[in-house]
Amino acid sequence: MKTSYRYFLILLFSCLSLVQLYGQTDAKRDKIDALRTAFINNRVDFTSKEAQDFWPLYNEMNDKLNAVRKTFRQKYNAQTNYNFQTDKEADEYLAAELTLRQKEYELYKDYYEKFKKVLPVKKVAAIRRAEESFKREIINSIKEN
Amino acid sequence: MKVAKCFCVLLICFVLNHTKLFAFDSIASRPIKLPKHYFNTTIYGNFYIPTQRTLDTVNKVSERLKSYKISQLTLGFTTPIYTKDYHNKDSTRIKNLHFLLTGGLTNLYLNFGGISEHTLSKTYLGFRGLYNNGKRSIFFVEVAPFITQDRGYRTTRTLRLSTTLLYNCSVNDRFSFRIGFTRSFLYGNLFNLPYVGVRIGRLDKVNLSLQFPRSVTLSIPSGKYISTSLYAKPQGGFYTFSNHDSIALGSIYDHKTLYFGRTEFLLGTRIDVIPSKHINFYLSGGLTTGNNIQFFPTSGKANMINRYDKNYKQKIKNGLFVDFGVVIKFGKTKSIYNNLQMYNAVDMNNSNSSGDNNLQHTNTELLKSNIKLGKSKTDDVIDLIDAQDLY
Repeated sequence: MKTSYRYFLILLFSCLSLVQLYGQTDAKRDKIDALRTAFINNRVDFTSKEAQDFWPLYNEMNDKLNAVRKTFRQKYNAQTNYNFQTDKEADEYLAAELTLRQKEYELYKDYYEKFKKVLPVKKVAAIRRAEESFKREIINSIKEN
Repeated sequence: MKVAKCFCVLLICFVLNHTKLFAFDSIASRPIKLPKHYFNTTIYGNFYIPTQRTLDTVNKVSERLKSYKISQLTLGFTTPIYTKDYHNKDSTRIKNLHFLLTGGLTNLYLNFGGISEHTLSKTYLGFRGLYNNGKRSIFFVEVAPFITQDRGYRTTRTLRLSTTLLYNCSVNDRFSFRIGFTRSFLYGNLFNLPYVGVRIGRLDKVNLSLQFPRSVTLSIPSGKYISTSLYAKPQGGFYTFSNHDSIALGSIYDHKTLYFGRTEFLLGTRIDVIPSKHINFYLSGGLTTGNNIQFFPTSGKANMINRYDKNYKQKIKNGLFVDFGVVIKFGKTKSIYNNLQMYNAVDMNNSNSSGDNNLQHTNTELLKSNIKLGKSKTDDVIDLIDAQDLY
């Protein structure tokens, strides 16, 4: 019985350490996503049918956007030196940024069409406006901090 | 020779890949890596201990056993192994299929005052499947074969099977119902039971969930990090028991191996501490009622209605219990914010613990209504902000 307790405690502490390590990476971004979702939900008046159809699509779009941005971030994170060693490197950076914008544009375009099939177009626009307001709240919160 | 060639090709691929010399390694050509699953890999531990009780003398078996003291340790896991999203023609509806692997170990430490201590274990490895049709329905299946054994006595190993089939209909965010079937040993014997359940109230708010034959729970989220609940649920199992020190000399109970069944109903209150959606602890306590223990001869098999015929049954007085647990969830998953169907799927996964243990996990994955931003760094939100937003 004592051995089982010991295994349990070892397992527990190992897992807690792993979770602690992992949790720091993506927790803040998850929280921002959750906040934005809650913010939109408060600003736009969805019927239960609309909510049921819309939120899975919206989550899917954001997962894709996050993945696209993460790919870019991994290569050119915030700490990147501004002095590129060669012209080729600088050119690659510009091309990568354009690719990112292009992919974002394509995703938005694709999903706006899908949103319009499950929501009235006024609500789709209202969602976009709510996203903009959420950004302003975020900027204000950073300013206050 | 072939092995050497393969090794060389693999080595070249590895070097090229890790030195980023592949001609195609640009941002444009990189595949977008989305999280694969909707469910986290979960590991959990639970420790349950009720008070010691004396046995009222019924016959010479009770006389021999004297008292009844147990404790139970459960360690288990659930991990997604396959997830597939299906879209309709215009991609405006997402259906999904999920397969998960479940497994674990339950040790029941059984101490009758009159005979030596026994550790009755249950080791299980199972399979779980969920299908969400993207409208109102979710189908759930769990097949969990397990081996019971009296530790230290190999001859007592017995393979058993518990299963659950469920259909969940989400009428709206405040009401859902479930119907199905469960083959379970939770009531101290083999039972094939219908499963009928309803939930009233939103999953992320105060809700009442009646799930026969598993549990009745009133959940009361109280703030950002705390969730409380009141519950009534059965707990028990059906084990193989080594009768090496003979529970009654010169009678039918002198078989070398017996089956042992126990069942009890817990009326308790539980408090969950949820520091993040990846981890939660809980402490629970209350009254254990309707305690029964039973011994069965191993020569007898399950009869036509799939129950074993018992030889000895003893009612045990009510007592108090304490239950402590921890649930840890790993990995990044696809987002499910405000997705009613996935909320129900997550609830089905959390409320049906693997291995016929009837442990419930809190739905930490659901969006909290009282979430606040707190201190942010520019790095955390840089994806959201364009330069012109600052003007």
